[in-house]
Amino acid sequence: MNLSNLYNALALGLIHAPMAIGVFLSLRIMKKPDLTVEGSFSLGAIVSMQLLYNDVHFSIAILAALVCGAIAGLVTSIIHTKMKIDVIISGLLVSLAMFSINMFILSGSNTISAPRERYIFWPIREWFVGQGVRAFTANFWASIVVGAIVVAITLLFLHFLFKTSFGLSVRATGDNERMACSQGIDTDSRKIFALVVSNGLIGMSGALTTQMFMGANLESGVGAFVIGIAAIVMGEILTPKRAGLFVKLMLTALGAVIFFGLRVGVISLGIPTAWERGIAALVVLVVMCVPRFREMIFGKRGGVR
Amino acid sequence: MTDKTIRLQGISQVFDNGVERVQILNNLNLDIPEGQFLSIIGGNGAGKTTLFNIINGNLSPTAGSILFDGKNIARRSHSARAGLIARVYQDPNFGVCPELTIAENMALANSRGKARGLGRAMKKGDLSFFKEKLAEFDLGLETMLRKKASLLSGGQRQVITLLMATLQRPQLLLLDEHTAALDPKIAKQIMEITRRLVEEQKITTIMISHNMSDAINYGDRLIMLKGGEIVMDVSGDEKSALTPAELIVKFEE
Repeated sequence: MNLSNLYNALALGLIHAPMAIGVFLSLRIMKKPDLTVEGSFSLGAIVSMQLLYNDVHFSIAILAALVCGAIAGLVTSIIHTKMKIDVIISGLLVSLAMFSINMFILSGSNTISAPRERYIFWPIREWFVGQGVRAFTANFWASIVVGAIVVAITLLFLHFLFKTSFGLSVRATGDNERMACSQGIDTDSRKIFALVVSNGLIGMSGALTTQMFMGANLESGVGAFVIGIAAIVMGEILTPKRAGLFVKLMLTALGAVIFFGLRVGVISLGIPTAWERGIAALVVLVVMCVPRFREMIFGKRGGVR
Repeated sequence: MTDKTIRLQGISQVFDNGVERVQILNNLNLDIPEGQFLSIIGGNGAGKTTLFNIINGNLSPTAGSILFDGKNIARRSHSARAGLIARVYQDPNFGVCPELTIAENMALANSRGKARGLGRAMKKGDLSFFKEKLAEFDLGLETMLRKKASLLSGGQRQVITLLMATLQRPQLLLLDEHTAALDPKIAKQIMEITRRLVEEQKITTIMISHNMSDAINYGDRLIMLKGGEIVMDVSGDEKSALTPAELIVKFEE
């Protein structure tokens, strides 16, 4: 694995990290396996790319992706909480519908791509090039810088959110709904809030990813949920026993970087691109088996996760 | 001068699934003066837990009203009643959030029934306040504030849940066989803690118990439910003169 592979993995990891954190929010904090992920990720990708194509500024395009993702989360969570439909079914329904919505936004074509000068990465890349960095490497650096800033903002936002009275009530709802309810917490609104934030982050992550890949298509979100889970599990492998929530969120972001490190590493061995997804699945499987392997080798860890 | 007596008026609960019709509670009337500690006994299916579910809003009664300060709360949602009513369940797992620290659990309870905004969940002085409250029990819980609630034993959970229920004085405390899942020694300890917390703050309390001597020894009034109706209602000397054996006879009549 050479240096540019390392940069690539770091960039991919950081840019997918908000998505992984979004999945952490629904899956680990709310204990809701929300399958809207792939829909909101591709929605974010396609909406932002369409806007960039129409010469809208990247800040608006990314914001729009965030809002669209959030709306997808809102729809899923309302179906789930108010219509009392299982969260898996709600997410699947929204994801399915998203396919048509995405086709509509793409208006007939299968893929969409905007000139790269309009991407968020471009000004930073130019700056690096101005500093004498090779254009090829500057691309990675631009993604790494943007990714790091976005991840930092996301983590700080969630850190302060969960320190508030409202944030604590969201965590309580995920942890023990009956208890939360008897403390006077309107649990439905907390579930809706969590899925809105989660899918907003995922949509934003989709917008960043699509700009790194320089294009969006109907399949942009395929595998996103699994990548999110892999990042979470990777992070959990590294989580110390007494870690607080902030550390867990940070390690989820780190988990995304490590996951892409493994994936880029395996692919750099010279595996044909057609096998890329198969390899991704294999890497996820291996990562997810680590806790079990560890149990088998070192015995069960005492206490709880 | 508002009327502080809690009044249950004409409470009926019918479960009807279209095939079977089961009457759980039948036109039940019960006034509980402020500060009274009332014990409810009754066999399985007598309607005790249904009554609690109706009072705290888990269940909407088929008919009847629940008056707090003269206002009927029977149609308010469960969470909207939390400011008035606290409930401790039999299952210690219901009372706390296992993944949150004890301090965080207590912070949740400290704003029970209040709006939860973007202010800090753990305010200045909260931690020392919680510490002080836990230290009163003399169980060493005050040193565990930063630990996750999942590390607590069932008994410890019930102690914390009781404290959480009374941290902000509720207008009504519901104890739903809250010592039934504990060993006899711990159960006795919890009952003593219950008595202290309730007496200190003069909290109006209803306790469901299957333990006849607890029902006689604790509280100022005892009622027996059978078939959804009150078949016995004693208080004062008449209550303290009862023996568990007499109660069991009455139970099986």
